[in-house]
Amino acid sequence: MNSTKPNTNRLLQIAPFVLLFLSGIFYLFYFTGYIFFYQEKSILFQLTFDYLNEHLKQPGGFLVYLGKFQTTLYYFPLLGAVLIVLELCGIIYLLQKTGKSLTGRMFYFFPFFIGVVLFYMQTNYQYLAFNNLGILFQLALFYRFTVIKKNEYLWVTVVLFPVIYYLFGSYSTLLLALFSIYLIQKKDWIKLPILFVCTGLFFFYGKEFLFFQTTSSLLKYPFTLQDIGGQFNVFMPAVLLIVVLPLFFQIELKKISSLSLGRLRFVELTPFVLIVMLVVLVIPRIDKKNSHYFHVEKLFYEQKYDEVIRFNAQFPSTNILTAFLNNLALAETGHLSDSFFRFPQTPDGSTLFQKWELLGEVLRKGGYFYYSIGMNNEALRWAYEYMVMRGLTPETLQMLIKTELINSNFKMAEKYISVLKRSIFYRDCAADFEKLLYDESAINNHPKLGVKKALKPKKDFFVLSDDPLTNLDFIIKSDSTNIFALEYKLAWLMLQKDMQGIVDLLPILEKAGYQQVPQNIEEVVVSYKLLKVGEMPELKKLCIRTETEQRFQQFYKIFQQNQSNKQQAQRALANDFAGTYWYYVFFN
Amino acid sequence: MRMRNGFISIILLVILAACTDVPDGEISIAGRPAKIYPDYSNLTIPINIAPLNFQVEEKGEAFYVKIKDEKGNELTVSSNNGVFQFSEKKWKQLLNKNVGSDITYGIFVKVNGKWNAYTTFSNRVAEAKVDPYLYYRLLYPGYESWTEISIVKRSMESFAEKSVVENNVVGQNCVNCHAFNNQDADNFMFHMRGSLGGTYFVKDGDLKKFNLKTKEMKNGAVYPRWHPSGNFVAFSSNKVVQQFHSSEEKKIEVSDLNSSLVLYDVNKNEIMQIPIDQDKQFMDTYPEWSPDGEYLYFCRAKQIGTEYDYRDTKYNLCRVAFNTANRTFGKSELIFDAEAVGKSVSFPRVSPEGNSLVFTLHNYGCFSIWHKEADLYSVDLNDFSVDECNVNSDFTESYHSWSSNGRWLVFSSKRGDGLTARPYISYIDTNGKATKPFVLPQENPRFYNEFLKTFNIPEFANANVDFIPGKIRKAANQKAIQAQWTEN
Repeated sequence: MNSTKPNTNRLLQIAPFVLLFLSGIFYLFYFTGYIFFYQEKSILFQLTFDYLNEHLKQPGGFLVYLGKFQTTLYYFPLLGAVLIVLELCGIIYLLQKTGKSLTGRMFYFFPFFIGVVLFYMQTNYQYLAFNNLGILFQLALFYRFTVIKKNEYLWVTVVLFPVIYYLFGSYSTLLLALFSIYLIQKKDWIKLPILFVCTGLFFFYGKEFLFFQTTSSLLKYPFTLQDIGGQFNVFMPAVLLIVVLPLFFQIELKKISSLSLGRLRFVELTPFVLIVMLVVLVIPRIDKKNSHYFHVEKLFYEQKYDEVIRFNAQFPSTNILTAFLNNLALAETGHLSDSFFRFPQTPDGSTLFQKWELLGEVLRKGGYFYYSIGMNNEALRWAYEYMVMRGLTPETLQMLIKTELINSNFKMAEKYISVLKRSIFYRDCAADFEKLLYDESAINNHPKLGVKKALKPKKDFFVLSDDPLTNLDFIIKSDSTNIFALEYKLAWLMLQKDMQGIVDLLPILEKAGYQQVPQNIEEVVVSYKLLKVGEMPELKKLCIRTETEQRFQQFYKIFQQNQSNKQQAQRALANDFAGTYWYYVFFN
Repeated sequence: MRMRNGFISIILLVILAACTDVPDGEISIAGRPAKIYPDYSNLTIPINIAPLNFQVEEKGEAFYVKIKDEKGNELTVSSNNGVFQFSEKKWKQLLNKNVGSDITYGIFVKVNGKWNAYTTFSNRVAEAKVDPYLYYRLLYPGYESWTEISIVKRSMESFAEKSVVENNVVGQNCVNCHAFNNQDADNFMFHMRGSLGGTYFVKDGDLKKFNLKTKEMKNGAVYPRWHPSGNFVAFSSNKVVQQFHSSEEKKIEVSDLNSSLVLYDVNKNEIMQIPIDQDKQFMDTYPEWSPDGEYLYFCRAKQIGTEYDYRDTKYNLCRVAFNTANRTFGKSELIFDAEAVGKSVSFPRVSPEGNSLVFTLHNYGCFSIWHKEADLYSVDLNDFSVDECNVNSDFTESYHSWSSNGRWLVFSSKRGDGLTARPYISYIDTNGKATKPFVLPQENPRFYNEFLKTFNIPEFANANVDFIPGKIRKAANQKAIQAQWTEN
């Protein structure tokens, strides 16, 4: 299990690190790049003393600050991958060095095993940077104790341990445990109680006099189940293993360590075996669903709406939030009513709009619907509430800036821009917004903001956050030429198979300036007309194309031919009619 | 060795002197005052105020400020970015030497190697001190969510700021409505909403949690005001609803659906309805006691029906006599008929001398903080004449509080950005006239341009309230003491 040979093959020591480093970067960058996108978009790191100060209000805040700094560097996913793998290699290296420092022997299996487990957890997109950083720092400090064996240094550590707790919060318990075992092993019965007394006194003093946090938070922060991706059953055993590792290092299993394969000792090969096992384990961890979703989200944030649509057409997804963003892209490009059924939709409308929810991704994304249809105040509210609940993110802040610019609240927009300017990677974006400050005409003529400003409700009404549909009715009533709202309303009516409702809106569609009835709407109107559901309204310009009528007759004919077997009918119609309203009506 | 050290010191001094750019040579006259932020020009300031740090918002490569008094004392500061942060010690010395007189600011800006002198301005140093502390709640001026809310104590004499209560100490319960009696630490209270909710009183030096809501009350106790005796607290009891505008500049509409006044007897732990015109249908809110405790002022509107237009709810200013001995109230009097002028009143606050009352006037309703048009007005309590205070802006002026000597008024104003409220301070002369207000000074003069939270309910106080987290946690985890309902 371990080696006592002083002249261990140097290449065999370095090679697994190189292999892990290269394969780790390759894997993280090429297969799980969405992790970096998600995490980077979840925080807005600011290069100011105040921002650091905010994080020093409670024990563990400093570690979170460091984690956020690392996360902001995920702006470049390759750099993110390099940082993560470097940290993991650092952890392995420190474990090896600690083992050597304690026993004089070189260890291979357990250090790499820990590294492999931590890498495995890292493949969960919610596993945050501060977790590995916390472990890395504690191991680095512990390694220093084992190297510098001076009594004074140990005393300083014992007395200053509260500072480590203040900086690293609950992650310092790892060091506390390691250090305690170390002192027990050394039979140092003076430092150990003093270490606990110092720590206990500081904790008590901090709890009573310094920190406005709950006792539970003072004990646990910054550890949370969510921030390790819910992988408690893996994370805790890994941490416990690290704690007891110094004890394991003491055990010398000569028989196992002397096993060899030719000139190579088996223990020296175990890191390679573990890395191969890791590869086998993490390949199924590539989350295609999330990868797809985050790619769509990335394109959406970059306002590459055509690419969003193209990508979703190429790789269809049943994820509701993906469909929600895709529908927004369709709306922004004017295709919601003619390409709506080319993509999966849910009859309850959750692919169209989200109901108010104070927590989670819904709050983060839901406001984009209101922004799209011109309900600027409501979009601002969703972004603001998200900022209050979860802190600033690059996209939330940009939404706050855009909506305040549209409302001509330039002072607030300026304030938000000043915050964006304090970030590392969004300063150019802030500079672009800055050019619009106090310039109404620049906003009116802006290709994106100008359109949204023109859509603002003409008459005021109270928003019903739990009822986006009623809001649509209100805004159409306030401005019947708001084609974004109108198309959302039509999309909803199509989902409800409400042909009468759609036909009733045709005069408004005409009034809004449509020259041609959009494809999916035309399909509804054709069904309505040919199936003689009711009276057609009088239209001046809009007319129904004969080819759509012919297509409906063709659809109807094939359906009639297969009506005894619905599945057979579906198969027969799928190729030519899957993106039509008719197909949705009959097979949903 | 000694000679070498001396030589190094001289070189350092020369370098330092070279860095300190002071106006010299030919100085051009700009012919106008320099633009400074915050605007601290032509003010009356308290002798014990912290340094009024500011930034000169003119373009230049070097900046210089000379503050001098009539006796020739000077305070000079150089800056290479226009930010001026004065030494607290020197600032205090200068103010102390100029009680009742003016200090004059000369601002110089170097552009293209040439100094420009801007028109000077003066500030008068008032004899009257401001209370040493300002308490306020810091929170995001959001809509319905909260994460971090704190009640903060800020020294008026320095930039020291300390949390008194933070909601995170009890797991993000909402902390609100703090109130002192006569700026006194012994009579202090605040509400907490959420799982550990209750009304927290400082009692016998200890913090205790009470549940003031009894089964007889339709709604909980909300806006508090201490009776000067410290024996009673009058509360409004409100049912509030908030709605969100789709297009108005004002994004949020907060209204009372019903409200009434209740009186809490601190010593007996009893709560009772304040019986004013009980046979009529009114909504009464925002209680305020006269300094002698003989009158209770409040805002009153007609009770709204099930179908109502929020813009029709107008609150008038009323008062009712109070008999401390037997806890009885007289008949209500109308003090200011705001409805008659199409307006609505909130936050009546009587000056400590009792001769003046300042209130917020706005178009309708009683949540003035969301009303851009809200302004401060004062009532002369001798003849009930009403005047606009000379402190208003185009933006919201709302919650206000008197200093204990009645010479200073602090109020929330959103004039900075239209969304976040900042505490502005104005000197009120013996005739009740307000002077130009100034924003609470900060060490970093750019602070308000970057700070996203709002200053809510600013209250002057002499009291140095200092709760430790453990004390709050302990009080919060105790079972609330239930107040008893009484008819009288």
